[in-house]
Amino acid sequence: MKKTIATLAILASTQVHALAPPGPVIPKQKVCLKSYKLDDKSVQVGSCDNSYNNQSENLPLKENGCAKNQVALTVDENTIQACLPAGAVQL
Amino acid sequence: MGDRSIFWTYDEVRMKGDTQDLNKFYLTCPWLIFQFKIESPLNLELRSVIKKLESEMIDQECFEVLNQIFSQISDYPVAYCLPRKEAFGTDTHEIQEKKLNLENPQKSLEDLFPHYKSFAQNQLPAEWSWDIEQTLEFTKTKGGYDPLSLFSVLRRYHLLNDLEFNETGKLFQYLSELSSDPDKLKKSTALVLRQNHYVTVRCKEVLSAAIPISQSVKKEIEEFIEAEAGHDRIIIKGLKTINPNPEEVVVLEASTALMDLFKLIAQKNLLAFSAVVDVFERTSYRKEDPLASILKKEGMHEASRMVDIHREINDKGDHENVALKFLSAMKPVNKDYVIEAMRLAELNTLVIHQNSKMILEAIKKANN
Repeated sequence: MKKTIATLAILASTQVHALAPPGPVIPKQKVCLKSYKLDDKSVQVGSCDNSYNNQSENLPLKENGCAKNQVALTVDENTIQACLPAGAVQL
Repeated sequence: MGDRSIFWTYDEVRMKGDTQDLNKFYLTCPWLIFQFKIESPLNLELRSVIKKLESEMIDQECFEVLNQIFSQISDYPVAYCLPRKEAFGTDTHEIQEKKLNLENPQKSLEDLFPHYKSFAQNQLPAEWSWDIEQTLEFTKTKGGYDPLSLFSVLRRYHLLNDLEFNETGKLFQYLSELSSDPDKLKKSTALVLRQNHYVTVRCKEVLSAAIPISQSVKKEIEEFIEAEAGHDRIIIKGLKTINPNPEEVVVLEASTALMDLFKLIAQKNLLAFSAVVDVFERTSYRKEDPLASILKKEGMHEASRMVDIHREINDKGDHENVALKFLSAMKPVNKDYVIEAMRLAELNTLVIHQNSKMILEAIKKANN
């Protein structure tokens, strides 16, 4: 008797990489970075995430989910640290 | 996922959820039956996947859930390894300069070993039965064909041949029916043990033949050879309690052909070699060796003890998946290499099945 492989298994073999890979899918995350206008009219963006501070200070949010003078950035994995709370001083 | 295999159920495997206990499942295939328990939420997910498979539906959940289940029971021969996507392996394996004659099983064995011509013509089929085209389709990956995926296919094909041709069950049945004639039973069991002894005597020589082609897995093969050393001394001890002159007991042509072929495979093709090692190392999943049971029942306690010690050492060695280690460094292989591996592995399976058949024939002939 001929030994072969079922169509369903062949389909699995061809589709395993076409479908999203198994394993946890990291949801995309949004961070809010402060933007500053410099004297030469260029824009510089801060390096810490203001999302938590926006929430704790009840700041009104723009359509992009961030407060005034902030830009929104969507990242795969949030490696950007949160900003210090307002008024905190780092010695 | 990367360079890790994703498991997928063998075609013959059926899973069923218990109707009372939501955590309980049954897995059946022609060579194995067992039950297992899994907790929430995986239990419900598996029940959903079983339904999807029954209606031939595949989605991401199927891959995730089946992979989780089969990763936990990977010691059992119940799942394919799907081909890996990312680059893997460091060792390139290709067929050696001299192409083997792989026209059909008879011609192949005859060409490789002319002195087995009549054995090949009388005992082997005229055609191959393992589907190469579908196997190539199933195992293809970037840069060739995935050796781990191929290994999982070869393992399944061997088990399917086992269902069709293995006469070990008939042999043991016949032996147990000889209990009324202790003399015949002794002679018959001595013949069986002598074949086991011959295989173990040649084990080191045959396995060592793979070292020159082993590349990065040399250490793994050497460790395996070491673990198999001395098993012949256990078998001969048992055999001597039945027949004080074991060298007088004949070694059948099927046994010599098997070991000669195994040695040639070891020299030529590491993928086929791994598949053959897997065949030799597969356990019966029994608490006692069936031959040991017969010997014990018929009062040959010492021989029974030796046979069971041998089984226990093999089981404790945890060699169920030892052959997979030999493939751990193999890069994707090309089509010629796949075809050679498949034909050699099938040839070995066909010869191994002649072993129990020819022992049974020899015993019946001697007893009539």
